[in-house]
Amino acid sequence: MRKKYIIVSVIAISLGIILAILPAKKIRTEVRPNQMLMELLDETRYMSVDKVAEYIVEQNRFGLLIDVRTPEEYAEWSLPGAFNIPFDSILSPNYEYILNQDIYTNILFSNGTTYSSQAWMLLKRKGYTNNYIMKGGLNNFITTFLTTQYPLESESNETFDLYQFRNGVRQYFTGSGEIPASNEQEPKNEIIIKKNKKKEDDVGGC
Amino acid sequence: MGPLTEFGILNHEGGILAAFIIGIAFGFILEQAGFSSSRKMAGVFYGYDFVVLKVFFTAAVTGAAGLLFLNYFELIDLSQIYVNRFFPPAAIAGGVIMGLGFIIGGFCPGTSVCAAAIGKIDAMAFVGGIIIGIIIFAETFPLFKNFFNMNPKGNIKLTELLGIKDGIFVLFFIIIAIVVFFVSSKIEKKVKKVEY
Repeated sequence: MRKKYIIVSVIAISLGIILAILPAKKIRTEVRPNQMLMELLDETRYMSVDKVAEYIVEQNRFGLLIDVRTPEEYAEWSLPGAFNIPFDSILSPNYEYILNQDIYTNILFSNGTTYSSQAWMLLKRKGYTNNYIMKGGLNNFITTFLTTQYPLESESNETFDLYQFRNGVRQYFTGSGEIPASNEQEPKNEIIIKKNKKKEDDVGGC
Repeated sequence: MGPLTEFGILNHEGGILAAFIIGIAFGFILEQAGFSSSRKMAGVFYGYDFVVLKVFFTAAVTGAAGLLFLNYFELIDLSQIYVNRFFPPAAIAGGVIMGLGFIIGGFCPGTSVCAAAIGKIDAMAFVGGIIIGIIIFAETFPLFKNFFNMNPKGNIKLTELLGIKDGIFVLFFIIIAIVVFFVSSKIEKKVKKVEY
């Protein structure tokens, strides 16, 4: 065998031994601070209560409502079809298949937006996408659909359309004008999500 | 720092442009290495020319070791690299079909395009066959769908499947490559040379 091949082989094996000895590098999965800042400046993480109501009324199966309040609060009252993933369990591996996927749109909510925003930030730092916050939380949801006032005659058509929609949502929920006292729709506990951590790239061969 | 597209250093269009430039360089090097010759390519199956085996083994070893070192020095985040989904039955069937096509036609998909680009008629026919095959596969996909999706293993790497450290796997891979190089050189010396 030629000398040069022996030298190359020795170098290659030496590099291989170094790689085998080197400690496993900690894999960075969290979003970098500068990217996090950009995300926080972007208001698109919020979803309006009207949009959320649209998901509920249309029974859009691609929208998953996630209540991050405590199980006690959830048992007391929540939005129809909502899951309960308490804030202190948001990073539990049991819920990763729901929170880390790109098929369903996850809508996080709490009474206000404090807990849902904190949950969203934790998920964002983990690099999970497809999670949104219901703007204003349940308080805003109830206020919006219970206290909708009939618009003035001088208001625009869009305002009247919005009133009609909100009134329709109120009718959908109550038939009278009050938000129901408990979950009328069973949570979608049996959803099957194919885990898809990374986006599909073009793949090639030789 | 890398992958450049994942960290926003290159946008989507930039990524496509980079892929285009790398593709041209890849094709140029394939052609320069003689991979546009179907006889040379098929030589690996008949034992008179193992350059294909050597080149691809070298590329795999260089790529694997290089990526691990880059990851160690934080120049690339390996967790952000896309890993193909693994369906064992479909992968085995696809490998057999690909191997048969390789022996019969004398090209693999990439080298056929490379050879067609320099005007080789056999390669053009091969590329035509690939396109027809793709169309037939796409049109009849519902028939294969269940088999195609059978026993999914997810976006898994071999080291994850085997439960060993990446570095140890690469070390074994390097040793296997050196043994293969040595053995194939011995076979080449014993088999009658083919002029092409």
